[in-house]
Amino acid sequence: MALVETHHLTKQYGNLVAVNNLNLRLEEGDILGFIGPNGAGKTTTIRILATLLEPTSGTATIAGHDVVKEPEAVRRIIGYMPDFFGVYDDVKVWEYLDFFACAYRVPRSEREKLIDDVLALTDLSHKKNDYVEALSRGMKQRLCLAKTLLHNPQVLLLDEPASGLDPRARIEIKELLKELQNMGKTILISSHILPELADICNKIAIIERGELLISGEINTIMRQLTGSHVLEIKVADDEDAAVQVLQNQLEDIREVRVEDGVIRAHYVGPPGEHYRVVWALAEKRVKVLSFAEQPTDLEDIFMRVTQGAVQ
Amino acid sequence: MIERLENPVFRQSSRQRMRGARTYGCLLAYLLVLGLVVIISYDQFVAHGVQRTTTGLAQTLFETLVATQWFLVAFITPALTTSAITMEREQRTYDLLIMTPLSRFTIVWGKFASAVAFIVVMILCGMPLVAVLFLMGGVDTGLMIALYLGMLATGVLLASYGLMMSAICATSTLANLLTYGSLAVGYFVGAVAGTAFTLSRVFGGGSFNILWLGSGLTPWQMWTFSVLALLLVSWLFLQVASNYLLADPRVGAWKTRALLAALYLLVLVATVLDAQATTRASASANYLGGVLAFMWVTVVPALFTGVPYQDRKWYEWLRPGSLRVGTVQSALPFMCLIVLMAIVADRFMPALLRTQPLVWVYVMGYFCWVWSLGCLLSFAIRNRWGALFALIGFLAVFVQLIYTVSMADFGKGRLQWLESLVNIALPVALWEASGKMDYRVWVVLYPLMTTASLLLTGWLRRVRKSAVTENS
Repeated sequence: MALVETHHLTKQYGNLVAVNNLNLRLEEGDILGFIGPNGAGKTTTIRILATLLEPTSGTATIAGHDVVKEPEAVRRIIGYMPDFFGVYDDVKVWEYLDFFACAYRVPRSEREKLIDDVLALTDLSHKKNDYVEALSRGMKQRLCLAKTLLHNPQVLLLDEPASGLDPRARIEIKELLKELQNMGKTILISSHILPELADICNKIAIIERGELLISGEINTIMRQLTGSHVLEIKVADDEDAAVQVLQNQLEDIREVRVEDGVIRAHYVGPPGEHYRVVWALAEKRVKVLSFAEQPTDLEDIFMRVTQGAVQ
Repeated sequence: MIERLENPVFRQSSRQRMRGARTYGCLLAYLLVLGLVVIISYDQFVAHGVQRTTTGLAQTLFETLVATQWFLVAFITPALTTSAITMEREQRTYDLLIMTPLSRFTIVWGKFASAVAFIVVMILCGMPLVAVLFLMGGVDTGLMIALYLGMLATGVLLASYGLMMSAICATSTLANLLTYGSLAVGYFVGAVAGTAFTLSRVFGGGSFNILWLGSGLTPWQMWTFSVLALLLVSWLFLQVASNYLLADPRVGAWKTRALLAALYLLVLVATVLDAQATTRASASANYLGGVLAFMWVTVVPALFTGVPYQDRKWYEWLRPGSLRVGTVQSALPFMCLIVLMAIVADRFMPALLRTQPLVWVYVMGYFCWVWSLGCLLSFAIRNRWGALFALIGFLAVFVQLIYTVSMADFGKGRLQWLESLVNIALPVALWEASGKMDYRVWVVLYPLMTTASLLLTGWLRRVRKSAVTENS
């Protein structure tokens, strides 16, 4: 059974179609990277899944519960972290968590241990008695994540958890997500920054102007979309000659570019036979220093799928 | 069991309130004003020799103190709750709160209970001043307890009202503006002052003014009815507030309507009992109609829990689907039910005070005005100017309604049938037209049509009066 499933999900604001006919499916343990430029409809979709918005048409279910008909049941299963959120003034970190623990009906006897646990997980134990508004942005983000984990939700809906964070805080959030992945959570995480999702997701869905452009297993999509692999070649000198060889003498090479002294060429020939490229270069006495096949990344896929209206 | 009763919202908001320096500043200012009033009054009373005995002086000072405290509590209380829910929205904590399994009413109740707790603190803080007056003698303990209960009741009522406005409005500024604005209007037309007066009388145990409604009731009956009404009204406000925390306020609208119906039933029973006990010679001919007209103005809060069906013809109200949910349309059959209740109650009235059929039709016409005002409010409440226009319209309808129905000779002229029909037709036409228009057009049209209706009523009355003069 799919844990999160949407079926022809549509949301309209007046004439604006924010989400159009969206079909998503997450199995247990999936980490779905929900990617799209700002205003693509990511937040709208997540808010519908989080029972905060009603869809104009279509259905969305979480663990079999309809988000419109059974919001209470859905809210117990999901942990939602909004893209923008505030914190209460004059409240300490542990009090903030205690408030939500109590709201989620965690028995009083278990609360203190639970709060210590989530604080340890999000690396905030040392801030337990600090005031919430005094925390840095990254810490607030982690605190919100800690709050989201209090009722041990099966599904996490994280809306841009790393936006606006400095690189260090971003890495910390990423580490935390990996830990959650190991705990077996099913996670839907949205972002407009692609590489940050690349090594934690097993599925991706790309959305643009409310339309789902592509979705599925990362590997499958990569295979579908990339008959090509990117080759990175470094030569000792005379890059032009090398480019000449690549462009004119090899049929399986497309799009040759030189960036910072590295030649990038798309190889579209039969898999496992790109050694022929080295042969061809060697034949023309090009001094190859290094030759490597670059794994296709999300950014590549994204650029291919979206129509350029994005950037 | 105790854990089930634990309300995290109550704890959180109380904690936040008591941690800020602002709260203590507010308490300090409140106590300073109280203290100053007592000192200045003492000085004045002694200087002008108003009271010669110590006990008499203490009694006068006590009354001054309680009146001041009552006013301050009434003034400060709405501020405790008007930003309770709007702040959650403004601070972006609202989504996280609403996502918890707490019921909407639990959230509203937590905020409300925290405000009431602070009112108790405010009242208790003033106690040392009373204690000083006690030393001078002459202050009746029973009366004191009763008055302070009345003060608390005023606080409860205003706190729930502020909370309702906070849930409805999008921003704290708007919520404050509307709450204090409508309370000012309420003071102006005497409703708030009247309520405070009734409460002080009820809880004060003093004799009732014979001009006041309820003079036929025994103090014990009056007390019971007032407390029940107070609880129902506060509960009604809180229910409206929790409806507005839902994604669609229509879902909870039936609870609001049920509470309102219970409140009306209570008032009708009280009125009938009152009328049976005292058949006053000077009583208005349309006693029950007047009472109902008064009550109907209170229908507005319940109405704007409804959401208008846009782009629908008026006759589509009759579709069962549009009536099931809390649409503004679904309020109409509810109103008819109330009229029916009043007509039944009318059967129990003494013959002298029985209401004539015309009055019911007339009041029904005003119901249409109030109803269309409810539609307007449900459109305009998130728009500052719309809300202002709605307030003006509200005031106009209120004045016209009370003025007309309470007239002793009302129901004797034939032209009033026409007037009643106009009052039914105008708002319906307005509603019909508004389906095709932007609501901003409506906020201009509404006061215009209300004014037109007022002028028409005035003209009809002049025509009638001159006819009466000619005949005599």
